[in-house]
Amino acid sequence: MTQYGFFYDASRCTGCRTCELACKDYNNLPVEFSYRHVYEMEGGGWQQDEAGQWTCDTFTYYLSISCQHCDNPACTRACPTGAMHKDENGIVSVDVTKCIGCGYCAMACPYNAPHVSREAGHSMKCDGCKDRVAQGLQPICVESCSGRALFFGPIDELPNTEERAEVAPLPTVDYTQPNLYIKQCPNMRPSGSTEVHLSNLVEVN
Amino acid sequence: MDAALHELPLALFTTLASIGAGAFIALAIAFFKTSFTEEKARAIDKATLVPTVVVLVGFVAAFFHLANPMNAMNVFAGIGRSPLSNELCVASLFAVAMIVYAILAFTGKLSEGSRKGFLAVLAVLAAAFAAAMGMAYSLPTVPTWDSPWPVAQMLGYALLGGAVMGAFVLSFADGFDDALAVGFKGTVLGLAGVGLVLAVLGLAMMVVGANGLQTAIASGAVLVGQAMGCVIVAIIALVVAFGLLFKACNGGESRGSLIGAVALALVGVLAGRFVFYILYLSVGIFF
Repeated sequence: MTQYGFFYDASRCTGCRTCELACKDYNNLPVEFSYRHVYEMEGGGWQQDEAGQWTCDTFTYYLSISCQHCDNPACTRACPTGAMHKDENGIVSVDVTKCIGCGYCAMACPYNAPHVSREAGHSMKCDGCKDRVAQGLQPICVESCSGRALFFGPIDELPNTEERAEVAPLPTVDYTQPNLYIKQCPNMRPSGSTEVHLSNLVEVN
Repeated sequence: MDAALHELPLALFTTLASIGAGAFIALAIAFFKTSFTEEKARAIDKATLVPTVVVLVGFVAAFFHLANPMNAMNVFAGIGRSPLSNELCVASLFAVAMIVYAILAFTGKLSEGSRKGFLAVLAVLAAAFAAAMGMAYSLPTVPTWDSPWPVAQMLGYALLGGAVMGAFVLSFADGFDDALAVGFKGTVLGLAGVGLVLAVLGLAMMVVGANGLQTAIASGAVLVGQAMGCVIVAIIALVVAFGLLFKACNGGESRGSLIGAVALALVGVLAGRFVFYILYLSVGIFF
């Protein structure tokens, strides 16, 4: 099986959300729901020294995240029907003819990837734009990225596969072995760090 | 709290199913300890419709949780892999056995031996069903749920809630005093007491575990703060339900006390289930 995955260069991402909006537009998703999110993480603050002088060590970084099409997905392990499955390219997607819309996949996934649509009657998530990929195109989020921060393809063809994504607020990779590889920017904090908080909660919730 | 209200159908399902199923454990003990007259046994058989309907209403509530209930039969595909499939497998076995028993009981076709045998099987299936409900959400990526404490809670709810529901069924059929006369009191109070300890311990340990968790997305202490009102309601309601059962077993006005005990058990278990859903905390990103 060929395993496809994403590479994200955090040192190039400006947090512009074009990937998110292109995905939403291409997949005709409603306002309140998206397959891809840009998480804006912030930390630091102001400190006053003994002489009364204020210094600032605030920082921010962005994470553009969708489904990681993990090697050991929490969603497929939890799914009672087998609707959530991996295909021959390692892409995790939903067989809508089997899904009961129980939401168990959404509870299990630590990347906030699947969502249940009561209107559609099943779980919905990123499928790596498999129709576009079959035509030799890139997923719409990758193609739309003006900063060239996102890449997608077979793992051995990605620009850099030395480091799986293990930065806050993502969990450590041992839970699901995500196929998201990353080039970190200097501000990034490791998984488990509580030095950072999510600053765009209302936007991504 | 939003998370808990979002899961209201599941909270209702686990509340009604645990109490209704638990009643068959208490009824099994009552029939094994007591030689009811044929008339009383038939009356209890008819009253068994009460916990049967309670469980079935719970199942109906669960269907409201699904976005596509028409595909529900597909859940059996994950038996052995998905904890949810395992739960629904045990739930189905219990439900089928319960419905067959209820039909035979209501139509007066149970002999003394077949009634005891059937109830023994139902009691074992009820305990397995309660434990499976507790294990259903055992997800490695959700540390607040991935522990033995939800199992302790569900077993506790089934034993305590089932004891009061079973006692109510006996009282409704005028068989409660007969059962008390031959030592049912100690057994049912023991069952309810163990249930109360398991439920309260399960809730307390889950809260303590959640309180120490912190991620870049959420604070367990904040979730515990949101759940604390429900924790208090659950513990008080379950303790008072046990107290009313104790009163009924010690010569108090039994039917009124037992109706109150059943109502408080329903309130207590539902509050406990809200606590469970409020304390959902993923190791990664969740809202």
